[in-house]
Amino acid sequence: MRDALIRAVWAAACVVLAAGLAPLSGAAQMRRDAVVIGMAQEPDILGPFSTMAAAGTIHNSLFAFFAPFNEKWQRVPLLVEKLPTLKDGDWELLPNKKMRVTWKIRRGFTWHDGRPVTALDARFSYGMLRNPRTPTLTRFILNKVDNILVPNPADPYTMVVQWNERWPFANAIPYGFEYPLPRHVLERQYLQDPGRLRGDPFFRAPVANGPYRFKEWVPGSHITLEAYDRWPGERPKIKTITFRFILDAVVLAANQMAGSVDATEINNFGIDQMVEIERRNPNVAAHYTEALIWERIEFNNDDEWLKDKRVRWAIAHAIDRETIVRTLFQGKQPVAHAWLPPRHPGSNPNVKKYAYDPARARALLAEAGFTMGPDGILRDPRGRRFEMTFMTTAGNAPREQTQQIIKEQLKAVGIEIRIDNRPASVFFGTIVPRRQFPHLAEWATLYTPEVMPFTEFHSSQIPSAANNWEGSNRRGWRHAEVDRLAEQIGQELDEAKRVEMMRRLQDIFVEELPGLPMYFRLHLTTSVKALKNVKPTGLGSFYINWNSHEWSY
Amino acid sequence: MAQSTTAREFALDLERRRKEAAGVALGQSYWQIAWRRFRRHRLAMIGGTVALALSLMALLAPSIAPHPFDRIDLGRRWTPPGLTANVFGTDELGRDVLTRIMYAGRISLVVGYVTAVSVSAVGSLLGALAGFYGGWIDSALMRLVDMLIAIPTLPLYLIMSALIPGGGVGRIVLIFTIFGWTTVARLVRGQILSLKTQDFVEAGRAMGASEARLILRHLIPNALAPVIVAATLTVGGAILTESGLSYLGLGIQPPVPSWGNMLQRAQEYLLKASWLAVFPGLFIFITVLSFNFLGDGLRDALDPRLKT
Amino acid sequence: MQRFLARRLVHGVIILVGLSILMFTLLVFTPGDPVELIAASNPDIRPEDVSALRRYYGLDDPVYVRYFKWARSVLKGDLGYSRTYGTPVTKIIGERLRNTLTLLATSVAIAFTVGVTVGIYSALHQYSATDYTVTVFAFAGLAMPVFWQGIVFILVFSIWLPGQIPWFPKFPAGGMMTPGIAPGWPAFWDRLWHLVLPVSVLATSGMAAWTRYMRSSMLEVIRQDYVRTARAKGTPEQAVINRHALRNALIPIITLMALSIPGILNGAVLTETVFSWPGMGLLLFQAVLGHDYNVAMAVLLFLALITVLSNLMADVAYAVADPRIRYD
Repeated sequence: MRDALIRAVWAAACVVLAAGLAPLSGAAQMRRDAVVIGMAQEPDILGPFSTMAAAGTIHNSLFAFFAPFNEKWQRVPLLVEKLPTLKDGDWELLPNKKMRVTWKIRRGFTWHDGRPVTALDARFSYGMLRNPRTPTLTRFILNKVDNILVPNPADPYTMVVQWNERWPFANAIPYGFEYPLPRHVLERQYLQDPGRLRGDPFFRAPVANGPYRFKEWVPGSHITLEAYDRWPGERPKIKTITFRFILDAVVLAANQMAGSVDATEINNFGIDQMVEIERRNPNVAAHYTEALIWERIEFNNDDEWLKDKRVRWAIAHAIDRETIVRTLFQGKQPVAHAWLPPRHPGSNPNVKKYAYDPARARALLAEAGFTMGPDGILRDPRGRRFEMTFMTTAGNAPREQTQQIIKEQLKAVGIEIRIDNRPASVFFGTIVPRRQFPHLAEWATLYTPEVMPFTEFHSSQIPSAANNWEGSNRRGWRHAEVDRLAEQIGQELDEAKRVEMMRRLQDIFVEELPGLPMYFRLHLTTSVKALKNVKPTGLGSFYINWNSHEWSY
Repeated sequence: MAQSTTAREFALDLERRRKEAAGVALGQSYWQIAWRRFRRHRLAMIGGTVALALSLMALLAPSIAPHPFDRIDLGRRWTPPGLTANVFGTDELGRDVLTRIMYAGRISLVVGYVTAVSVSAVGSLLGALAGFYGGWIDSALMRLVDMLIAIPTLPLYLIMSALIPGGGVGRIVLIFTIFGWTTVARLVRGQILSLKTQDFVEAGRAMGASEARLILRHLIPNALAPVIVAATLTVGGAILTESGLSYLGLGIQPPVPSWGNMLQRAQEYLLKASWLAVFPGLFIFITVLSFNFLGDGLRDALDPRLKT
Repeated sequence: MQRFLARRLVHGVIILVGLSILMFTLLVFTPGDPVELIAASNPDIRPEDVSALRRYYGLDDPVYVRYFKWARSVLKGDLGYSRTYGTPVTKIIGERLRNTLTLLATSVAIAFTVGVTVGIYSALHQYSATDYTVTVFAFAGLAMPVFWQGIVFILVFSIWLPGQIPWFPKFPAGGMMTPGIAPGWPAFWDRLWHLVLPVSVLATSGMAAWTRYMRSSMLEVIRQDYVRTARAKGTPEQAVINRHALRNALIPIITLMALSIPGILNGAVLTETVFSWPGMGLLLFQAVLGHDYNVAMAVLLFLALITVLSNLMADVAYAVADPRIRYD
């Protein structure tokens, strides 16, 4: 009797609980002026001292950039009135390769505390970032800038950037950073101790200048921004944007399928997952955006076997890149023949192409002096088994699958592959920058439309203990003409001439094949179809929400 | 030993007194009784049989697997399970899932068995040292034990995985042993403490047997029963923990397959090809289940006080 | 009793200090310097930038110097700065600790209640069909990989079932709250709703384990002489169980509960990762991978502290519950 009573009470409690909770689960979808963006990463901090893509995404809604890229990969002036040009005279070439570029900040922009955004903020930001005591990640472009002046005290909206060397994109971005920081908020702490600036509360809750202002950060859960009422442009129709951090890509995909998030960015999705999301939830659009992500296998050009051009060619002919791309990526990511994708102006469609041709591969290897051993693996002229190590990031499904297929295909021509993968932290922390891969290593580089070939292709940029591991020429490739081209391109202001040299450089690269281009990765994002005006750019630093102030339902 | 100093030791003392009773009956007849008792334990018998069958499957994988190991067939990707050439279906590279399960079983079971053996060996040795010599050795070892059980092991595994390079079986077993010996050590120490005072040890001492001989010939064999039980349970525990580490990307590294990393890899395709996750998950589940049943049965069989 | 407690406290402190040394050393020696990690992702970064950053984060000192620096500031109550988050560690930990404790407390409470009840029932009906069913289920609960169960739950309860059955409530696929929910009761219910799946996953293995413990503990007790005596005296069965058996059977469970805390915390690391639950487990995982030593150390010590404290509590509870124990 008592048991029955207890059971009845339990049942009643469960029913009440379920009834009370159930209606709440749909609450998020009912408000049609809010957007929830799911990300598989949580930023460490906000602002320019963060390297994380998740922070970059949030910056897109939080800050007004000087001149952001649009979906057509063109810089469009936003915080500045116009992009300087040589013709208009606001970009001047001076003797000794120096330059002077004049920028005008557009009036009407305010920081989220109401103070106007001026050129003084930009000048402060430049000085602060350049100071060696602040934890700025790279001063590559900053160091080319000699100084920034605001010459007329009565006009705090005009600034003059003085360059101490030529740089082709001096009119695209004032000093290498996309947005300014508020001087009135940061200057005191900066002057007190630049070394402790990163810990300033500003970087947890920035006072920014963009269409959305910071509202709250619940660590481990989400960051919420709300529309800024003094935004000088048209008022944003979306009132709040929430970035939710769901670190497991499978769970993030589940959230997009279930409609608990309206869009995803930095989502770690694979092509298969994208297709699956679209199939499961027809209200979601999967965006496959052409990007500047070059996935390739680097050869260690100092290796005795790989030094021989014929061996490198043979490997290229032995790998069926078309099939790999077609099966693993449903044909959506194109095979790369050189290092710039078709959409980049410097891309060279006429480079030599290495077709899948195992017979040719075998012939080339025979020519290079390899003979078949009794176990089906080649022997080099000194009688050693042709066994090579292939390294990449552990846990990266497309890379590990590619590796498996390549292992089989190379075995077919008599090359044994030993797979040795490391966690990304180790792979990118020491293996790649210190060139600790004995033979093959696969990874990707994310370029911008303003990429310059110097650090990756010039022979002075081969990292070694002697040069303190400087440079990104990790394949260890030395080529005199490439060195000359890389130097010239960095100084050439005429785009047509630059493009021509870029194409020549790619011709040489493909002919010499110091590394094997695999494919160009797409930038993968999703958003609900009801959300209008979503135009992913596919570029680093410009994420799905770069134009969130133009979104609407 | 009637009064315990601490609550935890009291719980262990319960165990110890139980085993003392068992110790009295040690000898051939004891094992015979145990075997008879074990055979009556239905779940344990099933568990033992399944564990044996799984081990045989793993051992004979190269001869009984339906396909060559890791044969890629891009024309047969995503074949669902069924009565075709691929009973358990194929994966994202067209590899036969059944074949991979068999080969992964080799790795997973080796992780389980080797961990069990090495944990038992290290644990027994350290436990015996502590129990036999007492004094500072005992205090130092027991403080270390206290330290290691005061902290969840997974974070330590995480750190160790980052610390020790490579992704093979050896590394995982090493990590599991470094942090896993504590249970066995405490069991053995407790046994030794109670056995040490008993007649046959005194007799051995009186006859001039060396300490090493006493430990190896008399004390450890007498403490064997609980160690066997603990080792059996460790097999399942290690397989389960390896799968957890694999989920965090720190277990056995592909291309070497383990059930854990197969399961981890299958997540991405859970909605598209659920069989990729179902089978490794099922095998982990069945393996752990059968070793736990086996361990439970052994515990009951080796301990006359529980079952009457 | 007081002397006993004092001694246990000293033990606890020794354990914590030893652990801190052990873990600090391990952490420092993990490969992949945080600064190199930052540098590798950026082709434009220069060696002088790298060395400046290394100085900035104090990575060039020898290990013991760094340990003593760390220990000194911890003793002053300063857990240091998080390298990644750029904020004091205490600030990050506070919130996370609360979230983890919510998850843990709910799971342990549910697992304990269910486990003990079912265990007792099972023991009192030994060898019945129910007993066998319970045993099989308990073993099954212990054999399931935690993360696997979590992901299956998400797919079944947040996607598959709501898609099949229109009135089925859609459970949240991870997270702790719906962003922007109104504070007060709606927020409370929302959090509770988000707790359902992770708690069910985390409670499973505990539930299974305690069912097993309770069953065998109870079986042992009801065979004891005093229970037989009570029965023989003609005491009603209900009273025998409640007054004599239950209390004595629960005593070892207290210890087992304290001992199982680290195991539950292991489960919490995985559960929090699967469900994006902003707790200590998830934080620790990220901190270890991101080489955020101060955060990792603080979390590890907190976890150890929880265990040490729960052991201490178990000792006290034990003393209260079992008058047979004498302390010297």
